[in-house]
Amino acid sequence: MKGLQVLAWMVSRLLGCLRLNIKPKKSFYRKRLYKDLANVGADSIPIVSVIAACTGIILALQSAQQLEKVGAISYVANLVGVTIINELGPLLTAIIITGRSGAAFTAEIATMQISEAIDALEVMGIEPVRFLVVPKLIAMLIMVPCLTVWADFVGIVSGGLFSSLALGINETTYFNNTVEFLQLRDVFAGLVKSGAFAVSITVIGCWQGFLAREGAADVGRKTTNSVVISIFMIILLDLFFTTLNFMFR
Amino acid sequence: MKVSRIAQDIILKDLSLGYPGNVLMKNLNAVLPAGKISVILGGSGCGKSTLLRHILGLNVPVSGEIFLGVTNLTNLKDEEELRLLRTRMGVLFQDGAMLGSLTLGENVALPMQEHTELPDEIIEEVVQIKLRMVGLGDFTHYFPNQLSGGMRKRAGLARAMVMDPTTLLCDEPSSGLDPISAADLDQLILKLKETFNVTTVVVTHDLDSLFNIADHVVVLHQGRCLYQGDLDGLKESDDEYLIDFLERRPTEIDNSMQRSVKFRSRV
Repeated sequence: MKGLQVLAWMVSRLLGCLRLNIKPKKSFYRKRLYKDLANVGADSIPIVSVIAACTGIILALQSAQQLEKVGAISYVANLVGVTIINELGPLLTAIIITGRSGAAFTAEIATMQISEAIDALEVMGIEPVRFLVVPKLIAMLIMVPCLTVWADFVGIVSGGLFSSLALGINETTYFNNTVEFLQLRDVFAGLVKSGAFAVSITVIGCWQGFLAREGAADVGRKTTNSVVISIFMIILLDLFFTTLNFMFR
Repeated sequence: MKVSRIAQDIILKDLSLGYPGNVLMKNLNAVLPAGKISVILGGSGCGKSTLLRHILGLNVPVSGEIFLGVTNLTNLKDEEELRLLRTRMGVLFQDGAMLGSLTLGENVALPMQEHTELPDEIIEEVVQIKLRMVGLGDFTHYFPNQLSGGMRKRAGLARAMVMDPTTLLCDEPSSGLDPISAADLDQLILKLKETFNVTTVVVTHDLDSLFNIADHVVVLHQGRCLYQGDLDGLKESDDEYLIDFLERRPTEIDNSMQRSVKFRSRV
């Protein structure tokens, strides 16, 4: 019950901030936004790249094994491209960002909560949701779709390179097949999905942080809750968007 | 709404406070006089800090009213009014409550950046003045975790004073400090009162601080106000609890230890 109250409080203040009260000309809000953009985006590129590259190769390997049996090995490109852009690119990026940024949001806000820094913001007349959540939400809405596009690119390229070097598939054929088979609609659907994931990770991460009350141990508990709930929500949202995509195919 | 720039009394009227299902204090009536240092004294867990949170509007009282001058703080429905009023209140939290991701200078500058349209250079200058006032002029670019507990509290005091408030509220300023740092902080609170004529409320159970700074004392015990008045009256009180408290005489623990010794001797 307390959890739902805090969630309602946070979302209502967030909507209030979005409606009328953002002061982008204030330099310290800009600074916080730049910091969050760097934390969420630039700092995540190495891990997103490595995981996307490995996923591209794994997909190429798995699909080659099956497609070889029916003599359709050239379809590896189609399978890798579609799976990464429709599903694994957005999903894996969101899960990585949950572990990196969502957990960090919770830990930061929870630590501030138990050290009375949130109360200090309130009594200084600084809206804590606007100060802490809005820059994170904006950074996530910009960076998660960008990272998703990057993960799609790295996954497809690594799958292509591996197919060309290890499976003997001609790289031009691979990339032609990928481009030919993919539709702009798929890319767009992946981006919409990643935007929804970004909102979900931020809201859950900050909400769990604001819920912390009982000392340092609670910071750990709330961080764990944040990651578990975010991943659960990501899977639910993925199911929802995939069903929607299937219905309007 | 107009916010006064003159120090005002804080009036607690029939105030009952606590949390749902746990009323800590019933029908508290007290006046914390303008321009004076009022010390709220009491044992651990008696509700001192909770009272401070109610004055700040962070908690809502179970019943009763809190006035700052003629403004009823418990009736402020408009968040903007409360926000405006808070710009006239400076607060020093127990551990300083500095934001760990910001430097000392950025922490102290926060209220000014939020509430004024002053250019960054002017804000930086004011921040420097306030940090020098608390003896931290050379630590502007330090992060809170690079400072000692006493320095963090002094920085908290600089942040509390940056908007030149008319009311300063301090939650256990000397807790966790060595005697010299605690005495330094007491002197600083005295100096601030004398220089800026602020209504100061200090929550503490530190007797040295009490005798150093108090103009007015409110003692809380078992959910009620046991004493309010000046230091001389407190010293002359014949209330048993007050005498025990001021003379640091152990009570229940002592008795329970004696019971334990008797029990062991019987065994």
